[in-house]
Amino acid sequence: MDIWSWVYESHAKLSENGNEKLADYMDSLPSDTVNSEHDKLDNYVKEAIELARQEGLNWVELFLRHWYLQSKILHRHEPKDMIKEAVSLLEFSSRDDNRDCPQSTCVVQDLASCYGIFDGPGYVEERLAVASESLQKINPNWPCYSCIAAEYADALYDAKRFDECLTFLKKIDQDYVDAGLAKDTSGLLLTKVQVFAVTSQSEKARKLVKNVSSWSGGSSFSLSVTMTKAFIEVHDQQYQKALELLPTFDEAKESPVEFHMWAEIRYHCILNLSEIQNADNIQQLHELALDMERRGVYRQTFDVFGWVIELIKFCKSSQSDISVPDILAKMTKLKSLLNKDLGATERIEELSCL
Amino acid sequence: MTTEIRQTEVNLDGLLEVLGENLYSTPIVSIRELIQNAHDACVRRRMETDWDDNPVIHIQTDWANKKIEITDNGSGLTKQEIISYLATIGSGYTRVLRQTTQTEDAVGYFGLGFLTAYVVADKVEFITTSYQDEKQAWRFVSKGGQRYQLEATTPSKIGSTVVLHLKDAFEDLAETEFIHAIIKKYCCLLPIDIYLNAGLDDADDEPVNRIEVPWRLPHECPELRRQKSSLAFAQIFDNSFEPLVTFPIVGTQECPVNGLLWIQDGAHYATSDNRVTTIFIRSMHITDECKLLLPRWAGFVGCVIDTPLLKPTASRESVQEDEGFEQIRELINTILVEALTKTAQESGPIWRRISSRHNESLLGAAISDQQLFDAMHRQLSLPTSEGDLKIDEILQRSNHKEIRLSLDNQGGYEQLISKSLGIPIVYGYRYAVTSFCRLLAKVMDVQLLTLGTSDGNEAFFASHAIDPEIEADLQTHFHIENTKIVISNFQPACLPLIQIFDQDAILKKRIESDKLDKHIGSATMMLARSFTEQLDVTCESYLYINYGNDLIKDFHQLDATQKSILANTLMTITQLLTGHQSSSTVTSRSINNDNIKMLESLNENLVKLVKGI
Repeated sequence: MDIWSWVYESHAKLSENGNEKLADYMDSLPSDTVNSEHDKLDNYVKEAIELARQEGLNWVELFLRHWYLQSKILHRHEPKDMIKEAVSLLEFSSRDDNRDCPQSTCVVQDLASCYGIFDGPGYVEERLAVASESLQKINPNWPCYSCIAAEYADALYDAKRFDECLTFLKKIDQDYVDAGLAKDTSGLLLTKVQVFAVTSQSEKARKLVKNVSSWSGGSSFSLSVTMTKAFIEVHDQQYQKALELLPTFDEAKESPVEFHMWAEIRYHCILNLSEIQNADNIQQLHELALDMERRGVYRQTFDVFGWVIELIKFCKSSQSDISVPDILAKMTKLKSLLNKDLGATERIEELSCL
Repeated sequence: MTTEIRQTEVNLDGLLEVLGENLYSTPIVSIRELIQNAHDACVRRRMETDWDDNPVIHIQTDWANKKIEITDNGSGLTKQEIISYLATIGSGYTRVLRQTTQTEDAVGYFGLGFLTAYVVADKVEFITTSYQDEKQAWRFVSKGGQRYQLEATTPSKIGSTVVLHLKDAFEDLAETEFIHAIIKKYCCLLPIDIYLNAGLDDADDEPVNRIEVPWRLPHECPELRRQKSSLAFAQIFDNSFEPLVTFPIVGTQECPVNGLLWIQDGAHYATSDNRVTTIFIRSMHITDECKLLLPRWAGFVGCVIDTPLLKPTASRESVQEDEGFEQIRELINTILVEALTKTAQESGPIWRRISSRHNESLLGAAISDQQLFDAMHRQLSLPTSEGDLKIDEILQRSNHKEIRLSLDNQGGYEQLISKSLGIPIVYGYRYAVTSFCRLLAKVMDVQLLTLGTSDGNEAFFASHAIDPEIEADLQTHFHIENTKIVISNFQPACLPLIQIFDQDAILKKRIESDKLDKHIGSATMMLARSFTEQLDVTCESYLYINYGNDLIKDFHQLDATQKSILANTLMTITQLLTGHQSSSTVTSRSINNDNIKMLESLNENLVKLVKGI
């Protein structure tokens, strides 16, 4: 099923029928999403959905609501506010008239991503099951095959089941080849690079990251690639190089999906580079964590708060005025929101003793 | 081990090919560069001699023979200068001139301009007589630029002529109208007159580039003429829209820039980005492709600037985004906001024309620019159930209490109630309206009431305390399964009951029904249900009983049979008005003024019936 050919056809039909405004919105929404033009799309998405409803165009409504969820969940990491809409859209997509909409499969990813962002490692089995049953319904000819496969691979990555993740990615590559298509060079390859980076195979990672590209990923994907390059270096203990590659705090702040990785790279760099061991740099991580917490990102925020405490204790001379007991209290609250403990209790105890 | 120092070697053929094919994006640049060389030759002659004649550039096109000639009466070149500058890539005399005289009048930079000739021409001729040796002229000829012929020729007037024998692909450059448009647009700021085909029968003997530049008009120029001239000037640079109004860009000592901003006359979607920008550096055209110069929200604005502050890149088709660029961007943003604010505050016909075309865009713009929001939040209109209204009108009609915002176009009780009270409902689903209203509520310290949400319902149907016995009686007779009864007191009084479904309850019911299991995978359903299980749902719907309604007020005085009949009748009417389940939400049926009249009549008759009149 070629979703995009349906999109192009719908766009043409809407224009022909005088619904140019809706056609224009339909055209803009995916590109604004991947290019991080979220403020811009917030201005028109409600109107677009309402126009589709007025025309009784359920499939177009489904398409618009799905892409809005992509913007809010995948890019802006706001699962807390959006999970109800993800569930509602799932129900909408399953209605008799909407079930055959090419975009209906993608709605599953919106829901699974919410849980992945709440607590990626804590919902591994659920995410694997959801992705697995969705993959069984589609094939590599569907553009969403790579998205759903990415969800599966990310779940394995979150579970630190790296060998299994590589095997899975190899299988997906083969699926594409068997279908007479080119292997994915975007999100799936990026996950493969990250697996190599964290399993001490930095040379492989460096080589492979050069092949990563995406025709539809926009500026947000370019940022992910840059972040991954810094990630490779930090896992190879090349802290200075990682720091040079890492986007600035202001750039990172624009992209919530990258907060966790940015914080992780920065945490290692601060630990290892004395010249950046200061209160301001620790404060930046703290600021990101508070923002992540507001958005409903539980597990990753828990991680970042932990790094902040470590850095405060490690860089005693930094004279940070962040209150460690306050962070510990926040971590305890976050722990209660996690689906599985997975060492969270121990981590709080360990940090309390520092 | 010995260290060798060696000279890097250059493959000239390859380098020329790369520069020629890749440095410049469009053949128009060739003409621009050669005119600029001619200009700089005139500047040089004036700087180095006591020459006081008018500098002039003549361009002759010969479409039949695919030929263009560009002639100037500038300094000309000696034989040695031809070898050192014309035939040496990356070396231009303009740089020498700038270094020795500190002049800012010359516009050349990199000594690459002549190279562009080879992009468009198979053969390039350059005939020149230098002011340093008027008795000797030289003719330079090259095909492709790699090798050249240089010979003495018959002396002519001081100056130079470049002859381009165009490649087939670029023969359009010899088309008079095409060249005319190029000169008009790209050379309009050059202080040297440029003539096209002067002396020929069908030629215009006025200089093509003699155009009134608004910021060069004398101070005493009447305002009306200045405006007319600005509109005409702006039109040269905007291919898509007519300019509606222009605003001058006046720089500062720290940020020297002159220019013009204009608002486009076309109404287009607020999401459209039709920004057009043209940058001149010291009167030389650089680029038409630099949208970043204008704020992102200004999709309906055009701009042209001339500044010495920016630095061109090597191709001179773009500018370096350095500190100077940022300074100019900020200045333009400020000027644009101030100009729009002033126009809006004066609220004259110009503002009416701007807002009738760009109100939506300006709502979006105001959200992203605090300065703009502060300046014009009272001037912009919001789409409401009562037509487009400004915020002060909206607040006036709602007793300065609140902004009522609807997130969909489904009608409903809130609309009915608001209509009956004459309170406008702002259509929050329209472009940028919700975000704009959120900011408005904050700045103006008023409540933002979103219809269809639990907060909205609580505000609309506030609980009303009555005698507990009467309340119990109403609760008994109007009981509906899974429905919470709330005694309230709301307008219009003719409406005795309102039933509103709980959106969370509906979602929960649908997700938890077996029907979905057939169509959605079990793992996915499990995740969805783990969410709906946590929803705090106490009932499926709310029945608001209006104690302001006469039938309800007198209900407790009726006998048991009457109560039963009246309750059933009112519930049936309510159900008729309530509860179709739309594609995504459940709302009441759309209620219009006719429904209100019918309700009033029905209510009146029922009162008569109950009272036995």
